[in-house]
Amino acid sequence: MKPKDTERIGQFVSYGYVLAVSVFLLVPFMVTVIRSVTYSLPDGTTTVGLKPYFDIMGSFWPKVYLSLSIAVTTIMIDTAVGIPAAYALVRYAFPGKRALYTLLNGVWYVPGICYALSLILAYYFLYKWALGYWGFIAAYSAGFLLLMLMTCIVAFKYVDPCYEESASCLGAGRLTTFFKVTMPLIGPGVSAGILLIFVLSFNEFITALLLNLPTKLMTAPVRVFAEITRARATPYIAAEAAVLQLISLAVVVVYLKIVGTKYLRGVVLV
Amino acid sequence: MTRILAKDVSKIYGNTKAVYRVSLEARDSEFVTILGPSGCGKSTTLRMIAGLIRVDEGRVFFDDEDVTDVPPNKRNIGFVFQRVALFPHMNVRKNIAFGLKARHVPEREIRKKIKQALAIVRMEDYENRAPSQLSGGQAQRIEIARVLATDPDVLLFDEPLSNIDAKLRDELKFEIRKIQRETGKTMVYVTHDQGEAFAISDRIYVMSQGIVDQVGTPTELYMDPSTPFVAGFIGQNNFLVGHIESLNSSSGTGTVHSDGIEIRAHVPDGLKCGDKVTACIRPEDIEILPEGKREPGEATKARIVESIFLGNTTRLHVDAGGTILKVDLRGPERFSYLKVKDKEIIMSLKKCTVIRGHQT
Amino acid sequence: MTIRDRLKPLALLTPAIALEVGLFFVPLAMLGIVSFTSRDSFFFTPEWTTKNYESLFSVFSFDFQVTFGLVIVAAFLDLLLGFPFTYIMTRKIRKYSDVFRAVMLVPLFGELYIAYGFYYLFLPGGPLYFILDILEIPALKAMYSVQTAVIALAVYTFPFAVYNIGISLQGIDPAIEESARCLGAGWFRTFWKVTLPMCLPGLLGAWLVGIGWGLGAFAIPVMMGGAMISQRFLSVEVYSLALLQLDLGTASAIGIVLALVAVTIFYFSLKASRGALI
Repeated sequence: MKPKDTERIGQFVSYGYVLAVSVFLLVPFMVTVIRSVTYSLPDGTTTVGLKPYFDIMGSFWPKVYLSLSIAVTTIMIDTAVGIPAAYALVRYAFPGKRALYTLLNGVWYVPGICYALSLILAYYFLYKWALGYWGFIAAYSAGFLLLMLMTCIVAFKYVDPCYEESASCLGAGRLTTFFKVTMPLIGPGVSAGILLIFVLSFNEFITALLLNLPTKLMTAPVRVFAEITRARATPYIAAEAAVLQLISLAVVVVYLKIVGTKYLRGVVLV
Repeated sequence: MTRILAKDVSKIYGNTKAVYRVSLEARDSEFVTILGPSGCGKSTTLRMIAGLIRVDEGRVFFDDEDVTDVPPNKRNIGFVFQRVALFPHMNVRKNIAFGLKARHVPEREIRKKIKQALAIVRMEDYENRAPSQLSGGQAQRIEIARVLATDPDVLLFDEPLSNIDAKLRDELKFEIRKIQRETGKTMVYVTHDQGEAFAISDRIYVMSQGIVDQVGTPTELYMDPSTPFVAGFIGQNNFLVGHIESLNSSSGTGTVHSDGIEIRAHVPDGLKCGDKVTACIRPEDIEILPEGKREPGEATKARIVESIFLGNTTRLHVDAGGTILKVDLRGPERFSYLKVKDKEIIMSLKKCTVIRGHQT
Repeated sequence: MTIRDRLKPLALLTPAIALEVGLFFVPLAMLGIVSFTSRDSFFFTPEWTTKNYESLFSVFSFDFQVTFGLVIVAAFLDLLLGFPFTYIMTRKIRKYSDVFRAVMLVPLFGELYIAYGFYYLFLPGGPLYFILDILEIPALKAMYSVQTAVIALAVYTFPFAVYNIGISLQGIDPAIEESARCLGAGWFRTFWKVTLPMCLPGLLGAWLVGIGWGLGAFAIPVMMGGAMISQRFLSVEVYSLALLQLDLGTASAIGIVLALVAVTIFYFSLKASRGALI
């Protein structure tokens, strides 16, 4: 066979394999969506339509709104806390820096259930005054901070210190330099952190499940789980799960269209 | 119109002395250059003068004010970097306005100053360009405009032409000199390019391995190198390692013996008989004496080993008693020695500089 | 350095440190403390004991085996599927590579949805059976079996494994492979003798990462894998001990051990792939 033919076959196989694996990864999502639009009519026949989505609107939408609000608040806190911390870790040298960073990293690697359990112990025993919405937010902020930290560190490393030095020599104080020079340059990197925290906190489920007890808040994913354990696999549950995934997907697609994958590539993507 | 003085400044990283007890002075409106190879500490010294790096030892003065503990944004300096540091997210006008805004200059003044600055670097039409649309040379000019707009007391340029093409470099260095003369600002300039330093500086500090080897005007450095490093770094040199054979203290002359070659030269103060010295003689200072003309004590025999024609120069490699010396011939004489080999010649090594120590 | 210099980075880091200490390290410390009390005695009069930890070796040793068995196999599956996937994505294809990267983000949405999707797929009377009936393949009693749980786990941890593999693949200077080709090696020899050996540490790291994240799974073992797995998987065990049986002591003990093991695994995975995540 000619080399060009082998190359063509190689390309075909390559694309085919990657496509096959991608489809396989998307199977749960597709199954959920299909199930969500397949429902049975009163006379017993099965049909396809969007009825399940409308039916769940009333009861489900408040939960979605709660999840969205939690995600947004968590993002705001983590951005405010994470950017200065990342700046300190990248631009300054001080003893114990490595150890500190490793310690902060550890937060991310503890399995969800362990973290969740430890939180309710703490909430019932120590933080009795911090229950409710803000208790929830505090826990989420602590849990996801590392994500913002990692993306910001990558963003700061992208930006050459010579811009900040230049601004300083031109007469700008630290604050002016930070807001007028550093922030615009790390902006895109920070946006990657915002995206990741949104997607992960909006859909977070284990910690929310356990935090439901002290804070009495039920987020959307927890609602889905409760329904599943109660009623197995109805189209309504599928619709709820599909709605959450579709919202996440929409946010991801919009982000990728505007910013692309560049800033996710030091953190979660290759 | 400010005098810069760095007194015994040092910067030590762990066990490495990046800069050690360096003293540098730039007088009013003087163009001072720090010259040296990579890693010698010249950029570090400049950054200490700017305040970008904290000084470990020593003090920095602008006129008579001690600015050692003053942060860079309060020192009123104009720092130009090696890499283009124009803010990529702002166009040219906003870049230049940045420093003015930081100093709270009123809006009307800002517009005027931007035009003035661009006029000095002859780039008036580039106000609305983005940095990504500028070539290397253009970007560097805009950076100069940006620092000039803020009317700094001193100019500190860190190898600004390193990343520019050779031809443009030639043009730009004279432009920089012209701007400095016209604005009258004191300049401390850093470069590793000896030709560049010589072309535009009033005085040069030659640094190596964290210390200053020698300070002087280009002529002084060229004619009277005081350390083996300077002799080797500035221009080309032949090095004859040997010792002082005899010395006439009253006239300051003596003879140096090196591997079978005897050289009569002026010996600097402080050296005595037997001291290890290096005799440096530049290839263009070696004279080939015609057959008949020979003065006692100054003729050295040699044999031409190779002859290379370089256009405006003919370079000869000659063997003088085991040591290979480089001889450069300029002018019409150079044509007489083309493709010559194994010819015996007599040279005069009169214009030798003797320095203490051995150059390896 | 003056004291002011030392204080500046500290000031910038204080909110982050305070947040993590207050809402992560302190709770974890509590988890440790409670693990030494029996049942829920901590909230009344604490009875201190080491029985919880002792029971890990007896009563719960089977749980450990099941859990680790599952996640190890799932992580290995990720390597098998993920290595060619990553290799192709970073080397072989140009167009649409960003689309495939975006697909990587979907499993990150939530383990819950992966669990639900596969749960429904393999439900008896569900779509898969429907298709199998049409194709007249004897039905696989797949739903509550180990195999589906492993597959679901593999899907969940796939993006993390791919990331690790990708980092090590991209760390190989293309000039190394090119010089192998110039020296006369064909594609397979280059791959087998040059590329693959250089990837091995990264592959080890990816495998460990898959195990680490797999230990954190919850919805998947609960909903899939049947009675055997859903009651034996460690994270589910923690949940049921703590909230259903109110045995906080043992739950905390398992939690602490699980946390320590997971963190250690991640630590070694970072060492193996030489700091892919920092």
